[in-house]
Amino acid sequence: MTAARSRALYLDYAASTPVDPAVAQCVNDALVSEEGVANPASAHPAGRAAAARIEAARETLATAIGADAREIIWTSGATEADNLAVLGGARMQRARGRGHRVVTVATEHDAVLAACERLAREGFAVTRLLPDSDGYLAPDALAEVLGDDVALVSVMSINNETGVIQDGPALGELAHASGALMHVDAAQGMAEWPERLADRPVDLVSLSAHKWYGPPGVGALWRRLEPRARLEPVIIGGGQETGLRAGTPALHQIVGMAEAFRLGSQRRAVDQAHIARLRERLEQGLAGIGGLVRNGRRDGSARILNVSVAGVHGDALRTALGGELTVSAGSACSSREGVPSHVLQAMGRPEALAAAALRISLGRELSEVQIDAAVAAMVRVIAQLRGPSPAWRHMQAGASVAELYGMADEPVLVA
Amino acid sequence: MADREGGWWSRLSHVGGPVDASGYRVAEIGGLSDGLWVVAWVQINDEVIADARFEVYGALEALAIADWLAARIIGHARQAACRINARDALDALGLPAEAGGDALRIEDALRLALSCDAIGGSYEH
Repeated sequence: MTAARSRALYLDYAASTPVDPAVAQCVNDALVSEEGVANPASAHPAGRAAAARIEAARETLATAIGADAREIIWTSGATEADNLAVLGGARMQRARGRGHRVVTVATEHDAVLAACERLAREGFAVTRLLPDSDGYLAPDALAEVLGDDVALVSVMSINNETGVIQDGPALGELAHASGALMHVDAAQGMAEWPERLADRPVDLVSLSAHKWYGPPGVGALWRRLEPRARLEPVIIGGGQETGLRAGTPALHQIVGMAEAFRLGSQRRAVDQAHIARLRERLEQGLAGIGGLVRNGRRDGSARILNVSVAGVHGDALRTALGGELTVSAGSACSSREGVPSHVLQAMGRPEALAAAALRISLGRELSEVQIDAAVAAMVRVIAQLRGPSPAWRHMQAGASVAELYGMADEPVLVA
Repeated sequence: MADREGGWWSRLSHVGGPVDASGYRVAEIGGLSDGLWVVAWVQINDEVIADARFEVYGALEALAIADWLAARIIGHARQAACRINARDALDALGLPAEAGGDALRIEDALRLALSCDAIGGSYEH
């Protein structure tokens, strides 16, 4: 499988992974099959065959994540799953007299934050917690704001920009103790989540296919049935997905997602070990550069490393690296807007430092040779850009990152 | 800049501070939070620009403009250098109009280093 679609080495797996060839074959086969033509809602034999394929895929996905097939709701992706969980979950909770406040974290994906803003316009109170400067949300911080007025708590498992892993079990237990639904955006999480989903203290979990070698345009929301996490549908106009998500399901994408998750869960441990080795090599290679601010934690996801390059302008950095490495400034969903990441700013990074961030995310087909090439490119380009930078001159003369960027505390560097 | 080869920014001759700063006039504009930080260094001998260099924290376009500007004034009289228009760099380098703001600020740093106001070298943009 070739991850790179251009001459530049692809290191943006957190934005999207290449479709596994076996999955692509599966998608193509479904697309041209007899049942692929039919609408699964149709009563004729072809329609029933299509519906049966979707149900088989539902079973496959459920087995891969350790859940009951009836708990799977197909969506167009994790964004829609987030919307359905947050909007649908909170609205239903309020309708049942179970709270009128939602609690989330300022570092969540926009799919959750924007849904929370929508709820605020509908009269919900919204509490957005700030994480520590390393992006971690201490469970105590959640405990302090919980109460019986909280309808829903939404905290992602692995941050898509920083790779920070939250203490999901502790946060979920706290949410449940207060009577709130617990939603987890696990778009980045399933590759590193070996436990059965049903064994976790969660009620709603958003899944994405294209973050785990599946096709883009499909995802799922897992929702617990015992005890039942009740939802109000967001997309209406049909009875599909037990009335919770209207619209003709995309059979070929659904089959592809199920196959991607089946394959991914089988090779999860092997892939994780390989990526952990690559990450170690990457960190060791970058440590000598100096002045790389770690945006995240050393114990975060091995797949995602986010660093801010002190002394270098963000635009210059990404333009200069762009011909050799495909990396991003942060979430692909917002980086085109050219504004510094809301995640890094919520972690207290000054705008100039947040703007100089690079998210390097790793995938299973990368080799150590490619990691070495990426390190060499970064070492060279950063040195070239720091050479004429007055900011870097000040740092060489002894100024710390905190002094230069006006921060209260010295940030943690990659070393 | 679109037709430039990759890595061209590493081959600019006039960006980066002087190895030996003695005898240079220096002026500084901007900062990290402005998105552009420019330090202009000029060496003037008998009212002629002997050397000009720029330290730049900014986008690659800013580096290219600074380098172009320095190359244009070296060897010229200080008064003539004060009349240079950095926006001309946009056409010369094929840069978008959005780079005009950076060009003006780089020019401001240069004019400060040259003490243009003191010698009446101002002009209308």
